[in-house]
Parts: sequence; C-alpha cells; structure tokens
Amino acid sequence: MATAISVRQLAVTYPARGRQAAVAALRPVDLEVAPGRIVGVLGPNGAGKSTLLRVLAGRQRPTAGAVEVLGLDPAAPALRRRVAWQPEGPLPLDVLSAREFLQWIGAELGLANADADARAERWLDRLDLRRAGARWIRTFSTGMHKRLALAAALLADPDVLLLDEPTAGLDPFGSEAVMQILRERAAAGAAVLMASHHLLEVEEICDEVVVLQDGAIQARGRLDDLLGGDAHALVVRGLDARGLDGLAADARARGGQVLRVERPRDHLFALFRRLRQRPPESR
Amino acid sequence: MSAFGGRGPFGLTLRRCLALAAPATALGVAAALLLHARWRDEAAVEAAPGAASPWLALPLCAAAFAVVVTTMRFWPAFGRGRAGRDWIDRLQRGRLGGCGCALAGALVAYALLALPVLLALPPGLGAPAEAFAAHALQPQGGGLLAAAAPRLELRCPSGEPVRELRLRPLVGLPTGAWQGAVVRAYADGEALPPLPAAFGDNRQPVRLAFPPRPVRAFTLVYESGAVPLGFDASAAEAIGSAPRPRWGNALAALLLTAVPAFVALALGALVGQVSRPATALATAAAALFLGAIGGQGPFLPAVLGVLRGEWLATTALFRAGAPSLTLGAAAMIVAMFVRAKVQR
Repeated sequence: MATAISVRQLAVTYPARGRQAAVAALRPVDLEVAPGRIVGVLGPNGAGKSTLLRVLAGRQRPTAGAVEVLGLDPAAPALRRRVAWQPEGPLPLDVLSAREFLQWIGAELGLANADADARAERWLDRLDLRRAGARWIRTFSTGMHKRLALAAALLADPDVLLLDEPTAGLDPFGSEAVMQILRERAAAGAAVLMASHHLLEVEEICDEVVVLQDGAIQARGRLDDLLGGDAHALVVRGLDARGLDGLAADARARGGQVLRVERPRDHLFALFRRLRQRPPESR
Repeated sequence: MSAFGGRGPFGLTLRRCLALAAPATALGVAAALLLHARWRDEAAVEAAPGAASPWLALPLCAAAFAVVVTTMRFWPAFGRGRAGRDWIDRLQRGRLGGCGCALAGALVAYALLALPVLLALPPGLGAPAEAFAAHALQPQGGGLLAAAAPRLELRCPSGEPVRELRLRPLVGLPTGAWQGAVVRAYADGEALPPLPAAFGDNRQPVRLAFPPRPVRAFTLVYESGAVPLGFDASAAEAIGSAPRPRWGNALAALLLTAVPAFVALALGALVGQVSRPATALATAAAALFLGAIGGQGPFLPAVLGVLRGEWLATTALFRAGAPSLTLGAAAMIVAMFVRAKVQR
C-alpha cells in the first residue's frame, strides 16, 4: 500500500446554529501520509488540527472531499483496531484503575483477555505507569492521563496512529519516552499523524509537517526543505576571543556577515536527558 | 471480582453498581426494619398481615435509585458532552454506544441486590411465611349488592381449591337510618360460615376462611342493612389453598420491581443521545420516581402483594407492567435511531 492516509479536497463546515454562523473548520485540504512516516500537524488554536484527526478517526463526517485510511472509509468497523485515535481531553471511565481501563480497551478491540493483559502490562511498564496501574484514573496527573491514553492507543499495535497533543502536559522524560515509542512504531511501519504545539518535539521527531491556519494548509513538506535556507553557517568551537575576532574579520573580508558570537550551550531537553542517564544518587 | 461479568460495559457497570448500590440497599434494609419496629400497627396487621408495613419498598427503592444513578453517571454514553465520550463512541460496536449493555449490567446488579431482600426481609416485616394465589372474582350484573338487589354472583375462573374469601367493597350512601350491611356468602350454593363483620366503611376488608374446596361461583346475599355495596374487579378475591414457593414469589416480585429501573435507564439512554448528562439523569430520576414511589406501574402493587402473601405470578400485575415495559422498549429502539442520526 502506497499511502496509509489519503485526503483529497477535504472540507468540513459546521452548520449555522441559531445566531451562530456556519464555521469552516477545514477548507479543501489535501494530505497523504505513507506508512512508516511521522507527520506533524501544526497551527494555532482553532486551525482545524483536531477536526482533521476526527475526520480521519471516523468521528466527523466531511462536508466535501474524499478520505481514505488504509484504503477504507475512516468509519469502517474494520479500522477500529488498525487505527488508533488519541483524542484530546480526559479519559472516560475515570473510576477504573489504569489496568482495568486498558483491559476494557482490549476487550472493545477484540483482544483475548490474556493477550490484552500482557499488552497492558507491557505498555504500563514502557510508559512508567506500572506502579500506578491499580490507581483510579481520576487520581492521575495530566501527564499520567496522557501516558495512559497513549498506552490505550498503542494497545493493539495499530497501523495508523492519530494523536492529538500526545506530549501535552508530559514531563521531559515522559515526552522523550513518547517520542521514542513513536519512532519505534514508525520504524515498524505505522503511519503517525500528530497534532502538536510543541515545535521542538515536532522538529525532533517528525519527517514532515503540515501547517494549518484557519482550516487551510499554509505550508507543508519535509522539515529540511521548510527550514533550510540558501546561506550557510559556520559553527566553531575551541577558539578564544582573539581567535574569534580574527575569524570574524576574515569573514567580513570575504563579504560575509557576523550576526552574533555566543557561548555554545545545549537546550534544556539535552540537560534532562543527561540527568536521566546518571545514576539516581548522583542526580 | 475484577473479571466478574466480563470487561465490557455490562461487567464494568455491574461491578460499579454492586459496589455503590449495596451500601444503599443495606441502609434501606436497616431503615425498613427500624421503621417497622417503630410504627407497627397491630390492628392492621390482624386485618392483612404484612400489608400494614410497606417498608419493604424502602430497600428496593434505594437499590433501584442507586443502580440507576450509578449507571447514568458511570457510562459516558448516557449524555452528550461527557468526558471521554469520543472514546466510547469510537470503540463501541453496539447501536446504543454500550448503553444497552450497561443497562443490562445495572438490572443484573439490581437483581443481585433485590433478590436476597425479597427473600429474607418480608418475614421480618410480618408477611405470611407462604404465598397463596389470589384469584380476582368477577362480579356478574352491575356488581351492586343492596336491599333492592339482594343477590350477587361472583365467578371464580380458576379451578384451584380455595380456602378464603376476601371482600373489599365500595360502600354507597345509606338509603335510610345508617346501618351496616350484613352479608351472607355461599360457595356453589352451599352456605359458608357467617362473615365476621358487617360492611360500614368504604373498602373495609373482610376475610372469611373456610375448609379448602374448589368453587366455581360465590353468591353474596344481602341480609340486612341500609348501605348499598358496590363490587368492582378488585373488590373480591378468593385465596387458593396450595402454598407456593417463596423463592418463586420473590423472583416474580423481582421482575416486577425492576420495571421502573429499566424504564428509567431506557429513557435516560434516549434523552442522553441528544441532551447533556444532567438532563438525562433528571429524566431517568423522574421516571424512576413515578414508577417506584409514584405508583405508576407494577412496583408498589408487587411490594404489597409480597407483604400480603399473594402469589404474584397469577395476578394481573404482569399485565399491569406491560405499558411500562412497552415504554422502555420503545425508548431504547428510538434511542438507536436517534444515535445513528446524531452520531457523525
């Protein structure tokens, strides 16, 4: 199969209600996601990201256009197990324990009890929820909710993952674990479409991005193509102030511009990653 | 316990209802026993054992209310805009978003809570130890028994031997100076012992026991008095002589008392497809109130029947529950169509 998700001229308009005018949530949108690719959907609030995911999950009927997921109508019952959708917002049945919740998801997806149990334990473990497995979901923090929702989405090893803000509210370790899992799923052939406001994470994990604004696609493509420019930059390390001055003068003499000179530093994410790799007592 | 009832909406709702409704039911039982001990009316008990203590309704109402409220609050498909409803709507295969299975789980939970109550509590509230069939007698002619119309035949359609005649006639205005109506009863033409009391009050219960025998028709003869008596369909009963199993009566009562909970949840499922959870819950609670406490449907008559020692399976109570069951079934069918329409 060439594409996992195929969207042609998709439009969604919420009809007028009373004094409220009709809202065009998605203007004609085209999109294709191949198996094994991670595509980020970016855009401000109200841009149509969640609506796009709802359509692909079969929970929103398009006003116009053609949508296929794994070659089928998104609402096809056969896709319930093959396509996982993690909507934004709270989980249902929050008086269940995390383990019971995953068992319920497994039952709804038609997994055998033993199989569902094994998968639930695996994902609870992987997403650092094993110790909270017997706790009521309503006692969970936002990040734990998110991790459990992702565990539920991953339970049946779906071929397509539709994730709405999968890392919102997660701590850096949780975010990194989620990104690692998504990379693995993509490597295993799953197509991942994730809406997110976390630009750094999208940059780090996504092969392509789609930028939505007012329901229309403003930009799309591979990150290298979107973010790269014509000019080149030189990054040096190990020179003292004198050496840097000389290099800057040389650059100017050659017609270049020296924009700024700064001390190199890592971003916070790398710091957290380093801290996590240390043994606990030395943290 | 975690696997009891399965992992779907049926089992989840069943376990949740049992966990929350069991304490409510236990409290209801305790309150019923307490109230029975506090306000026991010995004279009324003499006239109709058990019937003077209607507190059996208390734990059953508590169980029904707890089960309905728990189910409506637990399963997200009972109301639009509930947290996590997206998950339910996408995962559920059923046409009611799992409401049907949740409803079934709730009713099973009610059964598991109410059956022990119906088996164990009535004797503690003064109900007879055994249940007997109560055959409604059909008055012939206009059902009037007075000095001007001194004979009235009451047909007994059942061939079962009977051992008691129970009369609760309407009493009209006196035709002269007030004097209670003295009536003599005959079974297939054979005189029965005199009735223990004259009729003076409206719906005054009078019971006449006699050796068990099959009777095709009773005849009442107006001997003296100044008040006319009216016999409608519920004014005369013949009590069968064969004791019936108590568990059978409890089972019949269980089915009849579960009707309001079924109707309430079915209406809640319907309203919940288009309304917010609070509206759906209010609708269900109102329906349950009418069915259980408001006396609409078979709930209260079934409770009173158990307390009087009447064999419920032969009474017209099941027929009386038909409109409620029809309403509930219709609500669920309409809910399926409504859900299909508003789904996507």
